[in-house]
Amino acid sequence: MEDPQEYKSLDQLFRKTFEELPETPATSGWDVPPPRVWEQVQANITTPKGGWTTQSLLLLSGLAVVLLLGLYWALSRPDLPESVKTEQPAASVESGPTDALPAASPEKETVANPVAVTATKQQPFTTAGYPETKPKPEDIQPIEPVSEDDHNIRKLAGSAPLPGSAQAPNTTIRRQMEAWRAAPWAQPLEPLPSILKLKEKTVPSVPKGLKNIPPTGM
Amino acid sequence: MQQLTDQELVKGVLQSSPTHQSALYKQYSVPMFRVLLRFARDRAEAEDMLQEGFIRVYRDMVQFRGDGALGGWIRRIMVNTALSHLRKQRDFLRDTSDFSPFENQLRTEEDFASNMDAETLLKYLQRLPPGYRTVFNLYAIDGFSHEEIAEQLGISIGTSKSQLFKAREFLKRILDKSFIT
Repeated sequence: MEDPQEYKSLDQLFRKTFEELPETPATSGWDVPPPRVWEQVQANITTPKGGWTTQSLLLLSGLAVVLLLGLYWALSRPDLPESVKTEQPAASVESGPTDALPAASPEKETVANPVAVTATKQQPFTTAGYPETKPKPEDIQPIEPVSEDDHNIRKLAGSAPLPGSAQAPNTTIRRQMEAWRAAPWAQPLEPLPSILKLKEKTVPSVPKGLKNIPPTGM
Repeated sequence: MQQLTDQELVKGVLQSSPTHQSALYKQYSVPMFRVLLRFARDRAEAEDMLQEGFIRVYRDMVQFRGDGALGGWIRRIMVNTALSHLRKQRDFLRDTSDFSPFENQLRTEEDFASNMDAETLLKYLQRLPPGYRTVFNLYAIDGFSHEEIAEQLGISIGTSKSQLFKAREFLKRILDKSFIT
């Protein structure tokens, strides 16, 4: 539908007035924005040049706190796990004499250390009821020769590595073994000092009257 | 200072050169402020729109492909900024058939004595309800169709037509009165 003529002229009046304005601003200044508009635009489009923002500072301090807590937790932990600590008495009995001995077979160890025998004695495993399987020759891998120290360490640790796998050095147990070797009870006993023998001689004898008193409560 | 070409301005703004940013604002702030004054209720609202619009211009400059004039691209951004600003107002499409409050506002000696210059017509426009003013601006001055206006403002074509009719009636009454007096 066509717009009536009066509306057309009205539209034209507004269009012409606003579209044909001179390029230069009006002398009254009605079409000039105040300088603060540019200042605010400028503040919004200027990117911060480096420097630490509040967000980055907060993030960094948070990371530092987490790191410190982690360090504190790691340093306040006991050196050895509980499982290794509970094994110490049995190991001390075993390790003392075996140091002096050559790599002994299990049978010999049981004879020399009865305490260790009772601690390590296990129920015999029976294969009754199971079909006997023989390993194929290609499945069998050569066993690497193990040194005496390594053998003892593996026994103390309670597990030996699989054949062919890399063994991580267990320095904790090695250090413990060295400490045990240097311990005073691991050294051979010295003969008693002569003063004790003298004291035995100076013990006073029991008076005659006391020798005839019958024991009470028996 | 010699006026920079559009290409130089775009290149400089993309490189975040403060000189070029300032030159772009100096070159386009007045014509864009004139456009926004037509859409705004008053000068303060137009200043807010101008600020928001220029921030968008600098931010989106990377999207300017250079197929058209830089002025036309900036003007589209300004009009879109004004429309999104107006759409946020609660009474954007407020309807009214009572023109007396607006007529009373115009009964000043200054209004009737003035000839029909841009400043006076702007005063008339700014006294229209926001919906009337926006549709009249888009249709009568910026040359949009009712379909485009309806799409831009999220209204029906019928609403766009009725808002335009009421805006014209209101302006005709005021102009008649000012001419008669």
